[in-house]
Amino acid sequence: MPQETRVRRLAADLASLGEAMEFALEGARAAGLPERRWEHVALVVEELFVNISSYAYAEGQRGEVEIRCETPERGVLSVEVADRGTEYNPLTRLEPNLPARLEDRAVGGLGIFLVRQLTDALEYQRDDGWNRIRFRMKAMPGA
Amino acid sequence: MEADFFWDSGPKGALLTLATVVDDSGSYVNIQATQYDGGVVLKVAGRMDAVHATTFEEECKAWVAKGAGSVIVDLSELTYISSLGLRSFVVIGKLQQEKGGSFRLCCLTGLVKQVFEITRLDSVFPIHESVEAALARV
Repeated sequence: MPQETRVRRLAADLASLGEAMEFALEGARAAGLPERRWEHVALVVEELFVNISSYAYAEGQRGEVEIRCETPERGVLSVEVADRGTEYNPLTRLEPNLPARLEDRAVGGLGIFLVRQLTDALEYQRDDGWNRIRFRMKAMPGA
Repeated sequence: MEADFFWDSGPKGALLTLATVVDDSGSYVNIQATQYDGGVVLKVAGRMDAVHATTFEEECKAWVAKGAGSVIVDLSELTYISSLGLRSFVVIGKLQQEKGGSFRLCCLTGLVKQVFEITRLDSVFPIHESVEAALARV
């Protein structure tokens, strides 16, 4: 089947987060993912988008985020979230200490962990000034 | 002694405050506070994303600052939460722990329940099936 590609460029700003998530949800619906996976797609895109809007670009610099959704086959969604900011691979982040009690738990650090748990084929690439994170979503993680 | 006055006044079980924030995309969070003997129940409805987590955190912090011994969060109508929302729970939990108060959650469903389980925050906070069950432990 011909591969359908949708691309959206947005300002790397929290004000665009709603649009980024809505775009990702459209991709999930178009790919024929089951409804229970739609919010997973929104969640993963939010985590990646928020990381970029918080850290990728210098204060005051107008940066952008490019989101690309493809459907390589029915029931599979492939997403790339890219920015032209400082080189950074979020997948190198340390795993959070999940068994810790409240007083020993870190306040943050769960975003990329959630991304790992909910996606398949997650990868990072630095390419010609772009940070590119790609992932796949199937009916269920690991399916 | 403003906090003491606050806690001794007003009918118990009465709705005290209501905060709603809607963003440009129509996504919203709504927080309804109801005071009971020894605690406050915050019913959070809508979506707790990066934009709305702050609203929840500020509302909780205000109750902690007022001296609410027990803060119970009813999540029955929360449909979405991301890591920044989870972060707010950890922040408030730690604050309440430092103050010697309690922080309990109840009625987790769907994605919210799943995300608490994946991150094992369901074993960090006391979680109850209903508001009544949470209040019974206060």
